[in-house]
Amino acid sequence: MILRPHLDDYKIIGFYLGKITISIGIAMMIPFIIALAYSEWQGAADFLLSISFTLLVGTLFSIICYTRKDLATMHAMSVAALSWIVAMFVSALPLYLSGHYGSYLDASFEAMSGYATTGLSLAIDLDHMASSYNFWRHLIMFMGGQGIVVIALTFLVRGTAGAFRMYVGEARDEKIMPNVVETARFIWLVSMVYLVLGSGALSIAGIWGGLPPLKAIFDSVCIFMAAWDTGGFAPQSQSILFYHNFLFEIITISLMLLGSINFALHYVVWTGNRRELYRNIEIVTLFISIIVTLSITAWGVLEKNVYAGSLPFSSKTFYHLISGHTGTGFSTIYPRQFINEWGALAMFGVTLAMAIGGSVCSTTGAIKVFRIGIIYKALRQEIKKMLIPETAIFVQKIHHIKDIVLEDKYVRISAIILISYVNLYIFGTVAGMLCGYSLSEALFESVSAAANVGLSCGITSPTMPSALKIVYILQMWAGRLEFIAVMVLFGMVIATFRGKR
Amino acid sequence: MIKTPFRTIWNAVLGISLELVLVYIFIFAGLAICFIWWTVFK
Repeated sequence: MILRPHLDDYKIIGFYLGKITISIGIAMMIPFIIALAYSEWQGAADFLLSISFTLLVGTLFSIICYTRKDLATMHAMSVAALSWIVAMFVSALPLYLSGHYGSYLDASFEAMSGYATTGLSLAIDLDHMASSYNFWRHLIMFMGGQGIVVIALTFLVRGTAGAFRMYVGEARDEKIMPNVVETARFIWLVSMVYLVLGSGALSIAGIWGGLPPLKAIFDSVCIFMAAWDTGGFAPQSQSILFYHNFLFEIITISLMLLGSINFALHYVVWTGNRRELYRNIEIVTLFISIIVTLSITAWGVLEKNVYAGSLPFSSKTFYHLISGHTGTGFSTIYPRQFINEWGALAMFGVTLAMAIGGSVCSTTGAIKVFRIGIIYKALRQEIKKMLIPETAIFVQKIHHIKDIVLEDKYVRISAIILISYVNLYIFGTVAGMLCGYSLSEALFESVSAAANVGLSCGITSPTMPSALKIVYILQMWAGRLEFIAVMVLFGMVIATFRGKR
Repeated sequence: MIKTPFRTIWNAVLGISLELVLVYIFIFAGLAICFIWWTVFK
């Protein structure tokens, strides 16, 4: 029996949504300062307006819904799901005011693409976008990758049991440290260390490649945020192709791979358990998956005889495979080249890599290698059970931080998430085909949106049908949150109308 | 997490270095596969 939510339930949700909205308003102060530093007065005015509006909305929510009650699972999941929608609407405001988006829907698409770390973009004339707006796009992506709830946990929310439930609702199911606030802070520590290392390396590569120092540093910070959070936005419309810099490509591949590693794995390796790097089921599965999908993609590209030399063939093929597998979406070719030059087999290889994704509790999207590893082990267990004598007992173990006995509950949840993702991929593919695109185009773009990748074969553009934009927004949202929080939110809406009093 | 600052920093530096080594193993393995495919099937 499902009970109809009480007024207090809505107040708890509203109170925490208010806190999260205030966090976003505070974050907008960074691009505001950048606008002042670059003398972008229009940008400064737009951000001032957006900050005022966002803080006002957040404060109103917090005052009207003020409560001292902690979050139950239903509230936490609903807050996690709703906070991404609220964040999308308020964060789209400065983007819309910039004049680089055809409608508020386009600006909202861009904001959700950023928060979900997808990287699909509907910006018009991105190459001439002012630095403050461009930085905001990348900051949105960085916040989304870290997790909106993680940001709120770091600064504004106490580390209660309810806060942990909210953190879980944001598709982060690993408690790295004993306290969830400490966990959130550790996630920031890892990201800040790599921010310094990654941005520094990219700046040097940029200056070495001929960029003016200020441009090199600005672009490096933006690209770091997009690479580390496996997002895929770039300051230029041609993505990484703009730089024509092999060193840039190698550094971004490294950052993409590092961003796809589980934060819990970072923690154990950084605190002395270094053997975990080659024993962990995620690392092993990721390596095997890259080899398999890369082989399919390479076969497809070779068949089409696109590249004249082994170096461009290897660098382009490997770059896009890693970009897809880690869910980043950086590109060194034009979107239509996937259709016109790479062909169906190579696109299938990249699509498969995108559909699998990186590690759980990382910044990547999609099914995740952990779940693929579990399902493979479960399959192996079933086959072995058939081969050994009936009286023998066979225990299947997996290694993730510690040895874990593979129980049915792990297999069940992995299978549920896998099936949910496959359904989401199909939903977007059908929507794309109904809008007149071919199967391979629609599948590629749908998986890219739902798995939060951002590689495009050319469908995503300001002129695409509005219905498809809404479908992709929903896919990015549900895909990033891994369904559970979204399902609970829908359940709560249904309970509002049909639940027992 | 923090017991002695030196030990903590040393472990973190070693951890980051090994993560970078792992990443470059991935990169070299990937590029090697591409070169092998090119050489064998081109």
